[in-house]
Formats: sequence, C-alpha cells, structure tokens
Amino acid sequence: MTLVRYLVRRVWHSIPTLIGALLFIFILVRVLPGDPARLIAGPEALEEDVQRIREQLGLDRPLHVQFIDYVSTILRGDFGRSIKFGTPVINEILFRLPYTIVLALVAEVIAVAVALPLGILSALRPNSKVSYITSIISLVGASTPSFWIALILIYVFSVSLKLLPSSGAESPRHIVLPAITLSLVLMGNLTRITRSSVIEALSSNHVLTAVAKGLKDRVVIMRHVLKNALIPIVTIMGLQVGNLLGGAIITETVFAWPGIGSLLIDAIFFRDYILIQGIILFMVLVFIVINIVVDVVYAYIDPRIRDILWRMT
Amino acid sequence: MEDDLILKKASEARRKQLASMWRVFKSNRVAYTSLYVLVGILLLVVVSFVYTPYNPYEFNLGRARQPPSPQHLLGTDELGRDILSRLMVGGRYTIGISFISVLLGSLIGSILGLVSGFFGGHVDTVIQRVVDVALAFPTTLLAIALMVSLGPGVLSLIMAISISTFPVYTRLVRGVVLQVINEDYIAAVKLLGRSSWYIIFKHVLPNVISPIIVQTSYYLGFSILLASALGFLGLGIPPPTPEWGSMVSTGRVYLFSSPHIVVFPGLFITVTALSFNLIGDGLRDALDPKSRMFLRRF
Repeated sequence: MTLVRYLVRRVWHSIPTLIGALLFIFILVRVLPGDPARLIAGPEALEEDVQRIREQLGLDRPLHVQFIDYVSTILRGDFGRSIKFGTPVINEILFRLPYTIVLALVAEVIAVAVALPLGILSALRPNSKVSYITSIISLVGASTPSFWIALILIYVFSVSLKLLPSSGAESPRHIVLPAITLSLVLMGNLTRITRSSVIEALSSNHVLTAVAKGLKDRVVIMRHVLKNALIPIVTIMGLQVGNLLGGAIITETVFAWPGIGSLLIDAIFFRDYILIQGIILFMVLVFIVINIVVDVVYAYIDPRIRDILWRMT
Repeated sequence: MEDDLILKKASEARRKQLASMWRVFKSNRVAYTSLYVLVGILLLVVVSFVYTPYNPYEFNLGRARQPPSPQHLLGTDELGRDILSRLMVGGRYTIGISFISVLLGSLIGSILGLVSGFFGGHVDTVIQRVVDVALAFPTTLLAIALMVSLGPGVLSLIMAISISTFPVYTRLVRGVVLQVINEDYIAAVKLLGRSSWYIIFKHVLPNVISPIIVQTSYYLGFSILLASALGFLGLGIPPPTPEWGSMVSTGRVYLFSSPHIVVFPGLFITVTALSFNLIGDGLRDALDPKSRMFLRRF
C-alpha cells in the first residue's frame, strides 16, 4: 500500500520535470537555425506558400500559445507528422523501437554476464590476476570512444576475418558486433560498481558477525555479502538500460542498426525538426519512467530505505 | 595578533596537508605515469602552435593514404595530409574544448550547488527543478540536442558540453553543503556574526573542493569522449578542422584499405581520456582520506 502511495508521489513529483523538459525541447526546436516553414516548403517555394505552411503549423502565433498547443497535442499522444516521411512520428518511433530494445537488452545481458563474476572475484581477491584484468576492462570501457571500438571490431571481424556482418539488421548475426560494442561501455561501469559494493558489504558489521559465528565462507558470501551488494548493482543496471535507449545513438549509427538512435541521426540530417522533437521527447519520457521504476524497485528491495519511506508517506 | 598566529598555523597545516596528498598521489605509480603521458600529449599540442612536421591543411593527393613511414610517422590521410600534424593541431580543439567546457560546467554547477544548499528555500527549489530537467536527459542525448539547436562550431560545443556537465556538480556540491552546514563549527562561526558569503568561502568551500577536483578529472576524460563523439557524428566543428572525432569519421570509408587513418586519432582520444581517468583515481585516493583508509583495509 505504501509502495503504491510512494509510486503515486514519485510520479506526481516528476510532473514539473516533465513540463520543464517539454519547455526545453520546445525552445531548442524554436531556436533551430533556419525557418521550419521554409524547410518544409523547400528552397524554391513562393513566399505565400511558406506563409501558408507557417499558418498551418501555427508558427505565426505567439510563443506561449504555441507552447500550450504543443503540450496539449502531446497529451493526446500526438507527436506530429514527420516532414521527411509524411507519416505520424509516433509510428516511426514505434516501428524502430523494438530494434533498440533488443540491442539494449542483449548488450546488458553480455555486460552482466562478464561484469558480475569479474567484479565479485576481484573484490574477494584484490591484487590477484583477476582483479588486474577487471580494472583493465573497467578502464577501457570508461576511456575508449564507442565509435572507435565499433570501427576496430568491424575491421577485425568483418574486414579481416570476414566472420560477422558490419551493418544492418537482417539476421541474428547482425546484432553481435553492435551488442559487444555497447556492452563494453556498460561493462566498465558495472564491474566497478560490483567490485566496490561487494567490498563495502564485506566490511560491514553483520558480515563480521557472520564470520565470527563460524559460518562457511561460501555461505557468508552468498547470503550476507551478495544479497547486500546486489542493491546498488540492480539500480545501476536499471539506469543503464534507460541510458542505453538514448545512449545507443552512436553505436546504432556506426552499424546502421535501425533503432531510434539512428532514426534521430537521420532526422537531424534531413532537418526533420518534428521528428527530432518527437524522438528526443520520447527518449526523455522513457528515461523518466525508468528512473521512477528504478527508484520504486530500489525502495522495495532495500528494507532500510523502505522503512524511511514508510515514515515519510 | 592572535588571529595572525592562527592563520599562519592554518596555512602551514594546509601546506603540510598538500605535501602529504602529493606524496600519496606520487606513490600511485599508475596515476603518476598517466600524468607524464598527459603532459606529453599536451606538449605535442602546445608545440603545434610553433611547429608541425607538415602543414595540417595542405592536400597532396599523390601521397594519399600512405601507411606510417619515416617521412610520415603516423601516415597520411585520404587527402595526403600528415596525420601526426593534424592530430597535434586537432588536440587544440578536442582537448581545449573539453577543458574550457568542463571548467565552465564545474564553475557554474558548483556555484549553483553552493547557493542551493546554503540558502535553501525558494532558491533551492528553483535551482533543483532546473537540475531535474537537465538530468531527465541522457547526457549524450542532451549534448546532441543542444548541438542540433545551436549549430556546429567551437562555441556551440563549449555550451553544449558545459550544459551537459553542470547538473552533476550542482547535486554533488549541494549534497556536501547540506552535510557540512549542520556541523557545530558552522553554528559557532554563525554565532560570531560572520556573513553568509564569509562562511561559504572560508568554511564550506574547502569541504567541497576535493570532490569537485576528482569529479572534474573524470569529467575531463568523459568530455574528450563526448566532444569527439559529436565530431564523429558530424555535429561538432565542420571540416577541414582536424578535430579528433571527425578525423575518425572521415577515415571510416577507407577502413578496408587504410585502417591507420582511423586507428591513430582513436588511440589519441583513448590515451587522453584514459590518462584523465587514471589521474582521477589517483586524486581520489590522495584527496579523500576515507577512501584511502578503505583501500588500506583491503
């Protein structure tokens, strides 16, 4: 019950953020270089045609009226029509979305499969070979530009070894390279968080108690260390997936993976400002929702935080 | 008189503290080496103002896409321009822009955080709402959106990256201020009738300096990646300016026959970002006694 109340309150509190984000996107598009009506009409159009489009789009009205209008169409789920494709923006987004979701999930699974064991082992055995390899992985992830990793992978696996395709999404094999590229970036972060939260859990008093009680090492690690360490790890994983929906932009572009990230870049080059505006808003919405979900899950799995929330709501 | 003595002692203590921090930093061999590597790269960039092996802008199609050789240490690009010369000049943009924008971002973000945490009330609410909005955007997306809106160019890049980095500083500094402000010594200074700004600068600021420095070092690495990613996407500085990210981008067409055009700019980006991150780790251990104790325990 309290959890539901917390959820409602959390959603309520994100409304000002959402309005702020809408206003920000609205302003960004309005200061865009070039007159949107002229862009739609094309360079050879007559001034009166441009004027007609301007009136059609409502661009001749005062800014605050335009903003209220914008918000009310968004509330009706109407993201406008793409200038380039002539189709509703929301259709374009929903058509590309599954690709981005699949890519994000596969990348996250790879990252977790590598990062969790490495992070835990390197926390348990500092100064060992494993811990050495782990720190290299997390450093490379944090310091290498993903577009460059992508190109190196293409060079090695597509150009030299001819093992994997370098662009498109026609077969399951096409996902391998983009997923690895994305997962390398995630891995670094995740190993670091895993390592530090396991170290922190190891140093807590209740683990000391468990050891003092004479429990076996394995039992202590599984039941007392990992259970505690998992809380921050799960949080980071949630945030990563949220970030990926926006952050896969570069990887998707390099591999021509047809997700919403590469759609955004296409829209930028077509100067399709209605599509740009729609995609950015969509990504922000997803990001806000995921942040709320992560907060609620976090509150749910951590009894200490749950208690604080009990008292607050 | 007594005041003077106290100040003198305080400054001596601070000097000793700094010296001990430097010792800790120096004892971290990886971080110390990274500092040298970074200085080396910066030297290359600085030297580019007076000397480059070749003119970084001059075409020479007869010598296009040559692999590394004694004449061209890192080879030539698709238009026969010397890659080393271009990387030296490009560093001014990639590193320079990252430096300025993170500096701006940290300055604005920290000031907002200080004000927000110290004064509270409506000021705090307004600042925090703005930060909420900025944090509602994934960082890369925010930077891309700003670049689209501001148009390509050095100034736009600086604005885009500093706007993308300031909110984290505001949160960080506000958090530390809220912690410090309830300490007894702040209450004591308030009783002495000192002004708010005096308290902020003398007693609150010193507490937030080290987390800011550590965060800045990490963010320098990150903003090198961000600036070059924007360049790679064609949203940064228009050609023929040899920004590192856009150099990788133009080379990708020739990945099959001349991979070196892509490899070297990418290596420069990686090594620079890596040095900043490693120096950040070293600084964190040197500046934060808590994490040092932590590390010693394990």
